[in-house]
Amino acid sequence: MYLEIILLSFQVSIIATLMNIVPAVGVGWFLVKRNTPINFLIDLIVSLPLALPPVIIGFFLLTSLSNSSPLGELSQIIFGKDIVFTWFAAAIAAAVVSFPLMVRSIMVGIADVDDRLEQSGRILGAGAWRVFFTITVPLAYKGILAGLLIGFVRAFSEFGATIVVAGSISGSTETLPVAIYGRILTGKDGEVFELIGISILFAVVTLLIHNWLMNKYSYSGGGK
Amino acid sequence: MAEESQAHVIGAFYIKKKYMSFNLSIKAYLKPGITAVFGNSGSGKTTLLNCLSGLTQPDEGYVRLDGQELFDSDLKINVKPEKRRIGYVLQDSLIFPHISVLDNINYGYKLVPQRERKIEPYDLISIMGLSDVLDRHPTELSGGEARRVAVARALAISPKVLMLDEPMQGLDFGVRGSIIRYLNRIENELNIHMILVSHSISEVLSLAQNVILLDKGTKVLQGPVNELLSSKILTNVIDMAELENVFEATVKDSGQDSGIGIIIADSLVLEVAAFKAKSGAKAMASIRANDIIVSKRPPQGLSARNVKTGVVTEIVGSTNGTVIHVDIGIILLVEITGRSLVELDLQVGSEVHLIIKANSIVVAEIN
Repeated sequence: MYLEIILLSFQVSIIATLMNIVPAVGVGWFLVKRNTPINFLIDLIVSLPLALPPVIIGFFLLTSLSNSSPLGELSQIIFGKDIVFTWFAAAIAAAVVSFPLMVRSIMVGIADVDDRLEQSGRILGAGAWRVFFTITVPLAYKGILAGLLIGFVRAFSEFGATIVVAGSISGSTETLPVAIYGRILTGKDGEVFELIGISILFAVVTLLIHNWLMNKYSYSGGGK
Repeated sequence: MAEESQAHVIGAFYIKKKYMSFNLSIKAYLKPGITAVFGNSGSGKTTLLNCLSGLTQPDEGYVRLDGQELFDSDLKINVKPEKRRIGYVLQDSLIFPHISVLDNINYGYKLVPQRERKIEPYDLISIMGLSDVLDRHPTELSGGEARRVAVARALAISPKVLMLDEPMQGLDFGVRGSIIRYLNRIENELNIHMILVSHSISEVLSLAQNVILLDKGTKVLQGPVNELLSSKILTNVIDMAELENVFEATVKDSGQDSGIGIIIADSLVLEVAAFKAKSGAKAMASIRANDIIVSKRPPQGLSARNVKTGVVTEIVGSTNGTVIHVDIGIILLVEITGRSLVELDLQVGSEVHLIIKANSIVVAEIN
């Protein structure tokens, strides 16, 4: 009976994580490996969703995606429908909120890669992109993976921004946290506890996977 | 530019690089063979290699190698590091830890266009003695093996020149000897020019034909190695306590039973403290220049195991100390004080007796 809610939650979180992978790795790499005067500004913008109440993010998304906004109009032209109050709006909200956590975890992974290994790659004839994909990414694997999982978990538990920009439409935008909230309001305590049980089970499994991956992929530095 | 017009020059560079507390300003040329860039730590050696390789961009100057302009600040030329084809072994070897030893060696090789590949990985594996470690994980390599893999990986791109930053740093004495042998093999068998950065005079002496001496970011001398040894500048720049005589020898007896071992270098027989080695094995030996005592008369009743008679071939003096070169079958550098030089009345051609304690000679089998 909760299958629809669970599947929707997975759909929203997976799409949110997929949307974030490339920009999160890119921004993480830039912040760690490039020392520019605007780094602090990028860092600030990226971290903002972490510090702001999600309801504010939801409000901003609502304004920038509504059908009177340029993005909303674009969606109307291309897809013939609105973004707000759809599962995709929930995915965007989850992506924005989980982005800073992903970037932070990925940054730790990338910072662990010795610059001189990358320099060795350049000298051996590999261009910047090749070095990135054959040296940086494989060596920062752990952090990137951890970032994806943390981002996914955060997306899965997202509530504040989602309820504002996607609402609570059964079968369309009712993710697990939204469903729990709705059932609390209507006093369905039994269902609340069942859904909480599912959430806890999911959280435990993800954390176990996270820890297992962290132990499995541990490289130590090259022969000294 | 006058320096460049000298015959047999493979490259030339002029590099200016300013840091907060350090300035590098060097103009020099490169001759074929092995050129050592020698100087104390902080003299700018690694910065120089980084500028030549393209990892660091000089503020001003030019880098020319093998007839190609790699950098020129006036002409706005700055060839990317991956296009320079310079083999560069950074300090600490830095083997890629996530791929096998063989994949490490092949990493750059695969990026070289087929027609430009002059050195094959399998030749390198055999020259560098790496066939047994190919399947090993990089973290399972010993320090010496990792160093050899790094050198093989750099050579696999068929480089115009091979640059080595402190290739013996952090290695045991015996392993250092083996690296020296491998590098000599590379020079002879592959005919590769090398730039060797070192702060150890013994490494410079055992490998290089030419030397660029750096002090506080500027070149103070360039020339053949023997010229360096007879230069007063050297004794001003280097730390005398580090001046050592390093040479290869054959083990006659490691002395495991008697406590006293015997090694032979050319015709010179030396008694040394017992060490681990097989008879007939090759070994590296080292004697510090200030561990040797000079006597004009044949000494008698000494506890020291080695008294060798030789002739003074050169005297280099400076305010920092005096180094005399004595031929006792091999040339040994001996540090004495200026006062001893005067009191013993030493001159080129003087016969002297060198007293060397067995314990002052460090020996390790080359493995």
